[in-house]
Amino acid sequence: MDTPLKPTSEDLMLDYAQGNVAAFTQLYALHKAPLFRFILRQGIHREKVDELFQEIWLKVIKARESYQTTARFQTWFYSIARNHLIDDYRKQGHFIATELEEELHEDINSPDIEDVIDWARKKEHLLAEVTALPFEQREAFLLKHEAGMNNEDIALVTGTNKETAKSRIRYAMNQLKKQLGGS
Amino acid sequence: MNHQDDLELNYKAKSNEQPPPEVDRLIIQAATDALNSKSSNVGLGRFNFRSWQMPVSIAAAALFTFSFINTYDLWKSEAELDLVGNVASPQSADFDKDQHLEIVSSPAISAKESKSDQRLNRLEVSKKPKAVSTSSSLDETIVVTGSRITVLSVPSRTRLPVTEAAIEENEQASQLIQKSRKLSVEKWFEKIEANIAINKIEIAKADIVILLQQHPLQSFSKQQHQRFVIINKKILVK
Repeated sequence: MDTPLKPTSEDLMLDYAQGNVAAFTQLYALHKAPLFRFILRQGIHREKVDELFQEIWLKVIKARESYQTTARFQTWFYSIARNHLIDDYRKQGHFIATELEEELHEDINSPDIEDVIDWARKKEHLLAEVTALPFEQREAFLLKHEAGMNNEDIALVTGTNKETAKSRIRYAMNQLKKQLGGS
Repeated sequence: MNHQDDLELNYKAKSNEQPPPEVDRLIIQAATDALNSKSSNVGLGRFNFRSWQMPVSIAAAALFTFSFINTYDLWKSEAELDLVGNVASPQSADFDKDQHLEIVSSPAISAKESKSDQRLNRLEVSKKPKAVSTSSSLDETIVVTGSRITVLSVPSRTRLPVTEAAIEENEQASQLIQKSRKLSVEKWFEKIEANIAINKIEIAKADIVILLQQHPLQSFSKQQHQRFVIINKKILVK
């Protein structure tokens, strides 16, 4: 017996736009945690995280009628989230530094035993180190590891190209390993 | 397992925070309320006429009141811009900077695509520059230089669309009026922009330009509708 196909996020969003609240509930359940952590890792005050999280979802709700399946739901969804975060940064007067990629070095060295021990100890700080990444590396890292996006979708959300997205993730990983002493 | 795999797995293991249940409830409730609401919300990237109708009306009323009461004498005899083609170059110094006046606050709006969600926080009204042009087809110009809005008020019987045709084709005025109706809105808008540029008004900084003027064209293409919104025979140019 065939199992019914699981509706995609795109289907759920369209269903919600047609008036199906249950579809939204499903959609929300699918994406709430990744989005929440995407915001949380930006190093924003905890109360502010809740506020931004709600604001972004309200925008999705308001935009339901204009949603079209020309792109993946996630791409659309995280574009809204990212733009909202950037707007908020700017309102707060924060400067979003562009990464100086040329100053970053790829230093993937072979690990030795001391590194591994130190790494195991320091990796407790991993989440804090993710937050400490430069903005563009951080968002690329989070879009990959929270939203589960591939390089192509990350490029779409961040307005760059696939190779740049890939590089940012690589730099983020290297930076994390460096900070955690794992290199 | 190398470090990279370890790092990724470790991250996934640790990254497990969830939004508070009360936030979940609020959002689901908002989603439900939105569907039940009679007023249809428009999405991101669309101009929400309803949200703008009131503030624009207030702004327009305030602008006209301000302009007629305070600057009528000044404006009566002179004009600063010749829309018929003899465009003089007004001096930016002619703007009276002391006349800036904050008049209205407007709600947040959603705007286009990724540049969306821009909020208009205030409008500042400045008096028009002193007249510098020799021609007077434009009786008044009200420039609102705020965060992102520019409002221009021009006479309803503007000859702007006729201008280029008149100059370039050298035909009779009556014929040109007919032709003017065939001019594209885009071209008409370009002329407006050109004149504005000459006036050193930084239209480029404005997301929205409101032209309180009726355009002779009756219909707009879909694409043009993205930039022009007619409000009671007035045109809001985005």
